[in-house]
This record gives sequence, C-alpha cells and structure tokens, in this order.
Amino acid sequence: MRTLAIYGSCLLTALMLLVAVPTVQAMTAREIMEKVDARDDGDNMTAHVKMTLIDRQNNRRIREMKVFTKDKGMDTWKMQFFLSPADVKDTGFLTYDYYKGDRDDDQWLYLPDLHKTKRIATSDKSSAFMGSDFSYADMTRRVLDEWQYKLLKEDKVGEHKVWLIEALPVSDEVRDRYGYLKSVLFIRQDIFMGIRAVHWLKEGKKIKYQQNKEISKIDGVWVAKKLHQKTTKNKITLHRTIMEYTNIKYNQNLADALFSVRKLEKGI
Amino acid sequence: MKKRIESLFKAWTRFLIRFRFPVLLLILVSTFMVGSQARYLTIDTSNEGLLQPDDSILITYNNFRDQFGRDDLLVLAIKSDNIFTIPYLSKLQKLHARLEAELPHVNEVTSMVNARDTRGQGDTLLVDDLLRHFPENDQDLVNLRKRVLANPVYVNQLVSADATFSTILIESDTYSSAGMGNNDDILSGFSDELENDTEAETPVFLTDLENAELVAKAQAIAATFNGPDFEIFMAGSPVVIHTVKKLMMKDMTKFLRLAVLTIGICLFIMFRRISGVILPLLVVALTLITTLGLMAIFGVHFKVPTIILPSFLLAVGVGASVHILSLIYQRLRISDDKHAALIYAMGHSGLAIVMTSITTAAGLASFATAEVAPIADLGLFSSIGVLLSLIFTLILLPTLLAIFPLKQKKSPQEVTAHDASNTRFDRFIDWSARITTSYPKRIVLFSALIVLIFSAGIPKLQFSHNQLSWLPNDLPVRLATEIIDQNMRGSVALELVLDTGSDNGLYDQKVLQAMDKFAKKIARYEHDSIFVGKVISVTTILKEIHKALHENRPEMYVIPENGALIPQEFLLFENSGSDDLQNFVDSRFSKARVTIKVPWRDALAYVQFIAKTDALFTSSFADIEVNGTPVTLTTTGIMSLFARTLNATMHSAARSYGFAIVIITLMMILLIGDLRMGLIAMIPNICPILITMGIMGWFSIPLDMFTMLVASIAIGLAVDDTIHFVYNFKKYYEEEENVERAVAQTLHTAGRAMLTTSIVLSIGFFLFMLASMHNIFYFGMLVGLAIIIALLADFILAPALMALALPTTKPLHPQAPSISRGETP
Repeated sequence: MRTLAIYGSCLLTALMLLVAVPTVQAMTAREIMEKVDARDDGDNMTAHVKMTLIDRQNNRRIREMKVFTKDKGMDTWKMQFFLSPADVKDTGFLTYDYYKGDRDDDQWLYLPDLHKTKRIATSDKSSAFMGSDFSYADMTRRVLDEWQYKLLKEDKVGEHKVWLIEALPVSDEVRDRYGYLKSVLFIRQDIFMGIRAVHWLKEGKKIKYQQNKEISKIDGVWVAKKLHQKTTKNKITLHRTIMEYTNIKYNQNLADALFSVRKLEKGI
Repeated sequence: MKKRIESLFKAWTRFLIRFRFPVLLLILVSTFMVGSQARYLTIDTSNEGLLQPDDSILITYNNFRDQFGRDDLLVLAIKSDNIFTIPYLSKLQKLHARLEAELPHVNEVTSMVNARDTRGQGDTLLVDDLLRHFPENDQDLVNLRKRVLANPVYVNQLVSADATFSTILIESDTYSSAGMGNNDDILSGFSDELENDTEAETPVFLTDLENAELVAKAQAIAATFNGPDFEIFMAGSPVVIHTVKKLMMKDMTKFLRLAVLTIGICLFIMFRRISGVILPLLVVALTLITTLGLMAIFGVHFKVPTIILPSFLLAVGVGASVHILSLIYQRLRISDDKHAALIYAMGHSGLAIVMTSITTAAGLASFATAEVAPIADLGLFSSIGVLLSLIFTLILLPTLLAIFPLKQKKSPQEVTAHDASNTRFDRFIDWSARITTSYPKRIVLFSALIVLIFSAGIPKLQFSHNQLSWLPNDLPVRLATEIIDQNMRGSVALELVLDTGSDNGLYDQKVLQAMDKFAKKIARYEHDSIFVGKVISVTTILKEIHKALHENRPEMYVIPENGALIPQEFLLFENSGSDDLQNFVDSRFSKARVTIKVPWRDALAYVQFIAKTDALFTSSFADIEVNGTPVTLTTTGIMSLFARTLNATMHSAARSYGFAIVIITLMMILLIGDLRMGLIAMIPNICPILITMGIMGWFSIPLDMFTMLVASIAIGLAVDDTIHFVYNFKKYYEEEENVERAVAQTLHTAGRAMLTTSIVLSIGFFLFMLASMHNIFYFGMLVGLAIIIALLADFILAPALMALALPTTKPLHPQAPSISRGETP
C-alpha cells in the first residue's frame, strides 16, 4: 500500500515535470552555452581602449591603452601599452591567459624607469583587472565545463530577445577561483552573445552588473564596443568602470614576437 | 487677577464634570491614536546619532565614509603563548572563514589569513594572501614568523610585536541593507545611464540595528572558538555601542518598573487610598505613552540619554496630581460633596500647577537647541512630556474623579495618628521658622560659607566624553579594549584626508615624501596617555611594492627616490589584482587617506591630539604645492566624532545653563510680580546647583552629556518649591505682617507639600543609581542630591533671606507683638 503511494506520487511528479517543460524543441541551457562558447569572437585583434574608473563620489580616472590579442589554441595572448596618463605612457603589460582553469595566467609588466620587467603572480582570476570592476575572469573566456547551467526564463533587452541563464560553479575550487557564487547571463538569441551578466560575489556579498553595449559586426565578428561594469552592494553602487573600444580590427596577422617580453621592453 | 484665574479653573472643572463622558472618550481616543505609534520607536546608540544631522563634522565624516568606507572596526584580538603554531593558525583560518561566511552586514574581514602579502621573488612580484600557502612544518612556521614580524604593515595591526596576539579586523558595510529586494529585483538592477549616473538619493548608512546584528553574531561565533591558547577579546566602537545598547534596554525596563513601584508606594503611604495610587499613575502613564508616540511620529530615535525620559516623566508628572488629590481628600474629610471638592481643589491649585509645570518645562527646554542631538531630543520631548502631564492633570484627572466614586473616609484612629505626626512636624516647623528668622544673618553667612567651600571645587570640573567609561568596570569590552590598546597599540582611529587638489596629485614625490615624514613624526607622539600605535596610508602600499621590487631589502621600504617610478609602481600594484588602493585614495588619485591608530581614551585627550596633528600637518606641508595649490587637510574618523561630541557637550551645557537661569529667573520675577523678591528667590535655587557642581569637582565626577543635564533639570525642579514658598509667604506676610509668623504659616501649609514632592522626586532620581551604567548612576545621584539641597535651602535659607530682605514686621504696624523675638533689620 505504501509502495503504491510512493509510485503514485513519483508518477505524478513525472507528469508534472513533463507538463512544466515548455516546448520539446527548445534548447537546453547547456546547449545555448555551447553555442555561445563556439561563437567566433575574432582573432588577431588590435584596438584602442579607454578605461574609465568612477568611484562613489563620481571621481573619474581615465586610462588609455593600445591592445593586441592573439589566440593560441584555446589560450589567449594579450599585449597592452599605456598611452595615457602621461606618467605611465609606454608602460606595457603582457598576459598569457590560459584556458585551462588550473593553470595560473602569466603576466609581465615593464617598468621603464626601473628598466625591469616584472612577472606578476596572482593565483586567482577573481582579482580586479587594473583596479577596475572587471576581474581577470570577466575579461576572458569561461571554461564551459566549469559551470552548471539552468535556463531561468526568456526576456527582452531593448528589441532583442534574450535567454536568462543561471551559471553555478561546479566545485568550490571553481567558485573560489572566479570569486562568484553564481552568475546570471543574458544571452542574445539571434547571435548567441552575452550582453548582460549579473555576478554574485563570494566576498562581501556584493553584486556586479555587466553590460556589453554598442554591439556591431566588425570584420565579420560580433563585438561590443562598450563594456560597463558596476559593483553594488544592497543596490548601492560602490564603483563603476567603463571600457570603450575604438578602432577595432581583426585578422591583423600579428606575429608571435609581438607577445614577448622583449617587445614589452622595447615598447610600441 | 488671581480670583479671575481661580474662577476660570472652577468653570473649567464644572464643564469637565458636565461633559465627563465625551471628554474621557476624546482623551482616550486621541491618546490611543498618538500612543499606538510608540511601537515604531527605534533605538540608536551610534556615535553618529549623538550629533545633529547638519553638524559639519558629521557631514565631513559621512563624506569620508562614502569615499573610503568605515573606519570604526570591530577588533577580535586572539591570545596565545605563541601564535605561530599549526593549531593556532588553522583555528584562526577556520574562525576567519566562519566570520566571512556568516556575519551579516560585513564589507571586509582581514586577518593574517588574507593579509596582503607583497613580495619579490626573483623577477616575480607576488601579491597574495599571507596564508594562502598554509605552513606545513616547523621550518615553514619559523619562516612565516620571521616574515610577519619583519613586516611593518602587519605588526601592531594584525599581530602583536611579541607574537602573542593576532587580530581579525571586521569592517562593516557603509550602507544599510534595509528594504532591499529579492532576486527579481536584483536581475533588474541594470541602469542604462551608467556613465553619468550620479545616484541622486544618498543611501542610508548602516543602522544601529544592523550593527547590533553584526556584533551579536560575531560574539556568538567567537564564543564557539574561545578557549585556552585561543583566548578571544573583542573591542572597537561597534562593540562598545552594542554593549551600551544592551545595558540601556535592560536599565530602562528596570527603571520603569522601579519608578512605578516606588511612586505607587509613596502615593499609598501619603493617601492610603487606591484611587490616590491609580489616578496619578494613570495620568503619568498616559503622558508617557503619548510622549513616546510623539517621538515615534517625529522620527526621533531613542538614544542613550533619552532612557532617562520615561522614569523622569513618571517622577516629575506625578506631582501635579498629588497637589489636587491631597486637597480633594482633605475636603472629603469635611463633606461628601465630591464635585464641590473637585471644583475647590482645581480652583485653588490650578494656577500653581500650571506655573510649576511651566518652570520645569523651561528648565528642560533649555536643552532643546543642544548640539548633542539626543540631549536636544531629551530637552524637547521631556518638556513636551511635562506639559502633556499638565494637560492630563487638568483634563483627565478631574474627569476621572467626576466619573468614579470616591469614599468619604475618616476613621478616628487615622486622624489621631495623622494629627500626632502633624504636631511633631508642626513643632519642628515652628522651631525652624523661629531660628531662621531670628538669626538670618548668621544663616545666610553660614550658607554662603558652605556654598563657597563647595563651589571652590567647580574650577576642578573636567569635561568628558567616553562611552567606555559609562560601562561597568568588569564588562568584557572594557577589559578587551584595555588589552587591545596595550598589545595592539590602539583601537580608535583618527582619519586624515589629504587633498592635493589635482588629478594624480599623489604621484608627486614631494607629497608622498612629506606624507611619509609626517607619518613618522606623528607616530612618535606620546602625550597625556595617548600614543600612536600605527599610521597607515597609500605610502605604506608604495613602500611595500618598492621593497618587493628590490629583493625585499628592508632598507628599500621607502618612497622611491626616482619620482618617475612612483606611477609605474602604483600601476604595477593595481595590475597585481589588489583593489586595496581604493581604501586609501580616490579614483582621481588626488585625495589620500591617512589612518592613525591610538588607544581608546576620553575625548578630552583626543581634542589635544587632533590639534597637534593639525599643527604637525601644517608644518610638514608648509611649502608643498601641487600645480600651484597647497595640500589641504581634513581630520575626520570616529575620533573626530568623539571630540566633536565633547565639544558639543561643552557648548550645550554653557548655553543651557545660561538659558535655564535667565528664563527661570524671568518667570520667577513675573510670577512673584516683584523684581527684587524674584531675584532674592533665585538665591536658594542657585545655591544647590553651585554645591552640586562643586561636589562634582571635588569628587572628580566629570561633566559629560549626562551630568551636564543635572544643573538645568535640578533648577527647573527646585524652583517649584521656591515658587510655592514665596507665593504662600507673600500671601501670609500680607495677612500676618510678620516674617516669622508668615514663614511658619508658609511651612505649615506649603512646606508639607514641598517636603513630600521633593522626597518623591529625589527618590525618583536616586533610583537611577541602580543603573548598570556609571553615567546614569551619577546623573541620578546628583539630581537627587540637588533636589534635597534645594529643599533644605527652601526651608532654611529662604526664610532667612526673607527676614533680611523684608522688615520683620510691616512698618505700618510696628506694634505687632512678635517683634520682640525677631532681629531688628
């Protein structure tokens, strides 16, 4: 009798689940994210970047950089030279960003007045990128398998339909490395591109809001020319960062030698 | 004139008797409407709450918090014989993790576990958490110990110099999270106007309640870790505030119960009637509820000084009812016409009640403009309360008396007992009237001498503001603060903000060098029990990187000699992934925060320290300019709030005393209708104040925001007795035309009432001596004392003064028989 009751309730649950699943042909969250991951995000890029940091009291600091990136298999190489402010002009910053989560990124910074290049060792991607609201992880491609996805709902941002996908780290290690307890990603349905994200930070119960704006196709690649990120706590904005990309070019056939410490020390 | 007022009161009473039911209904409904709001009252024991919202020091502090976050940290100091052991460190790690995960309203938890560890290793710059690679063996521990104790950033901040303490510093959120929404709200938190989004509304700072939640949770977690070789001490302003709040709630309920009980007992002894207990208590209870309701309606928080309010209103408010009831009961002994007795009593005492209530309210209202916010609240709402109790006495009391039956009561034994005590009291009064009027000069001289001796202590009076000194000596937070001050060299911060006035002004080598020199100089400050335990600023970070870039050589812990390197080193630091710079500079790199850690002391010592810091800054930055503008300094932080509170206390005290004395003297003159007599009548009121303040001086009781209340409250209350005395005396002097007889008559009639009300009042205040908090204890003791002294002055000094000021007998009737006994003026 008791077994029967359990079977009955199982059956009922199963039926309810079947009814709850919206449409048979709809993609799963994982499938959507696979498509996002597979999207061509360009290679051999050069661009001009303007980064604006804004604090609580609306004080602004602006930095401008010339950026070069090149894909190396799943890894990404990135060279940045500061153009302004004048005090740090010609200072360069080289990053080897490894796709594999367990390998720390390599970073070098050249200090012209010390005539030295210093390798910077940071063991987690959760730390701030150049004092901004973007973490290193925000600036790079996430490892698909390190997250568990769940489709929350469909919505619209502007005139574009989006999926809201919740991403949970698969392990404590991943959580600690990214510093996120959870993210909700807004994926544009027409081009499989993330245009918004909300990140729940492990530290200090803060929440970050990322917006990718001014999206257009350059050299066949969909790209956001403006990135916003704000760090909030209890809905109060603590700090904001705006990154503006101009003069973006892809397929520039950049030489490997450009991404070397030698080049870093020589300058542009 | 007097007759007119009397008949007015009588007419009013007749009106009340006639419409007693609608009046009662009206009162109950309106009291309920206002009083029911009282449940929305909130408590605030924060440091900020002590100042008015528009106080410039508070505004500066809020700006500072807005930019750099909170400075009043919660400090856990954890003691062990040796902190560099695996068990200690792993326990520290666990405690740190639990605090980080479970504490509400926390912005940052810092300890050795996650301390910024900036090091050079070959060509690599390492910026990591200190204990990311947890020591595994003794060699690791030895290395860690060496590294930690050699790092000037850690010593006295995260570890004690002798390695017996390490700390966990908890920085709470700057802003309140009250009223924040759910997940859906979070997902819609995007703002499109991000680029010039200025957030029009200023967010609410972390509330007192949230602070309490944080501290209570931290205490609970700490308790589960506390043990031998891991002894946890908790201090810091958030803990002090929380402790004060807990004690305050406990004390307030205690006072309320005790006040009701003692007043009830006094009333019963006096009247021996249930109605004589219930009715006055009902009047004050409704007064209290209405006052609290009004406070809630006007959004006034309950703060530490305000806890005096409830029991204060009970003690003060009961007096008026007592006057009316005693007359009614007296009349009821003669006849059983209750309404007639009521009308008579109201007519007779109405004016006196109004006058005494107004002087009491005036004494309290003298605080209404105080710069210490809760003192202003207390002044305003206690004077409103006194006036409300007057209204209730004039409306509710007669109405209730008209509705409920009163028995005519006169048992023979009672009368005999009463009369016997009467005779004894009367004999005493006669004797005292004779002595005081016979030797007025001696009495005045003697009084003057006493006042002189006591008031010689007044110059010794010290101002004080120190919340920790309010707390009982054996409270853990007091011990913890002492231990932390001793071992970690401080628990309070003075915050400085240096403004270079231009973007990247902090890249300027001159500025940074001057900052460094200034920091070194101020670190050597040691004066008046204040020493500097630590100075932290952006130069600390710069020197740290500079050293790391130069093979960690200790001699490279300096500002780079090559100024061009400064921005590059900062850039390097920022690229290392640390966002710690945000705590020390603004985004424009134009303003720098300097934190100076000192021990917890009385604000009096801080005032001097702040002045010294200011002077040192001025001399250190005298010839330093960035782009043609001099560097400016703002001092702020929790310490500046303490100092400002002290300052505000001093101003408020001076202003309130002046105001109270002037207003009450004017009222006295007006009420008596005679300038000279009015001024003379003030003498017995000023003397008790001088004596009380002298006692404070002699016994080193500091003048803080509580004891400063004593003088004005005491004068407002003391003056009531004097009004009764002078008022009656004048009347009897007109009739009797002889000072001694007039004094005797006055004391026989008004004296008895003066005695009882003074006893009830002083007991009401002496009850505060049962408080757990020292400041409340002193407050109660001093006001109670002042009331007793004032009563004595009215019984002894006032008659003597009258004898000196007036002809013994009226000159028109020199043949008055009693002249022989008096001294000829």
